[in-house]
Amino acid sequence: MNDMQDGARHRDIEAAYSSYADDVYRLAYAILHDRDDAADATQETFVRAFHRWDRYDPDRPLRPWLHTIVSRVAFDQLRRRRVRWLAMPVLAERSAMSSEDAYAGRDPGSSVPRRQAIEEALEGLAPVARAAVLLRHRYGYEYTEIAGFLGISVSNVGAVLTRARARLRAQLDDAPVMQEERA
Amino acid sequence: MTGRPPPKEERDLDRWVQEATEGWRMPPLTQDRDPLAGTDRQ
Repeated sequence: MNDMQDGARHRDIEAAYSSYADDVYRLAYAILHDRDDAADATQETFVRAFHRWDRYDPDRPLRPWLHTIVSRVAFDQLRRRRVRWLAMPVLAERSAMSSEDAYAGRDPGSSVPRRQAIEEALEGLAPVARAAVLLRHRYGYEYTEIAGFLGISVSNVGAVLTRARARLRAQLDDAPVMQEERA
Repeated sequence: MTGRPPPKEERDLDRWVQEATEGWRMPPLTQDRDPLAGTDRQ
C-alpha cells in the first residue's frame, strides 16, 4: 500500500469510527459485559477493519461488516478471559467487583427506573442471548444476519431469542416499575 | 418454539432495549486508546 492509499484508508476508518464506534461498542459490551474490555474490543475491531479494508465492499452497509468483526473479537476475548479465570480464580472475583459500575455511562434521558429494570433483566442473560437481543431489538437485523454474526444456526438464533424474551418478560413482569406502567 | 413474537411484543422489546442500551457508548478516546494505534498513521 502506498502513502496515498494509506492516508485515504486512515481517513475512511476514522470516518467509520466517528459514525459507528458506539454501535460496535454496544455489541462488544453485550458480549463482554465489562466497559474496559468492550472498549478494548472496539479498538481492536477498528484496527482489524483497517487491515482488511480492501475486503470491504463499499456498496454494502458498513455497520453489519463491523458487527461481524467485533463479534469475533469479543467472543475471542471472552474465551481468553475464561481461560485466565480458570487459571487464576482471583481475577474472576476482582472482575465481579469491578462490574458493579458497569453501567456508569447511562443515558440520563429516559425513564430511569424502567431503564434500570430492563438493564438488570439484560444483565441476567448469557452473552450470546444478550448479543442476539441487542442485534434484533436495537438494530433490527434478520435472524440470518444474526446467525452470521454470532456463528450459530438460524434455528438456534430463534431458540436463543425465544428463551431470552421469555426470561426478560418474566423478570420485567416482576419489576414494580413495569407493573405501575401497566396499571 | 422458535417463532417470532407478536408485533406489539416485538415493538415493546425494541423500545425497551433501545432505551436500556442507549447509554452503552464508547468512552472518549485517550492517547493509549487510539482506534488506529499501531497502524503507522501518516
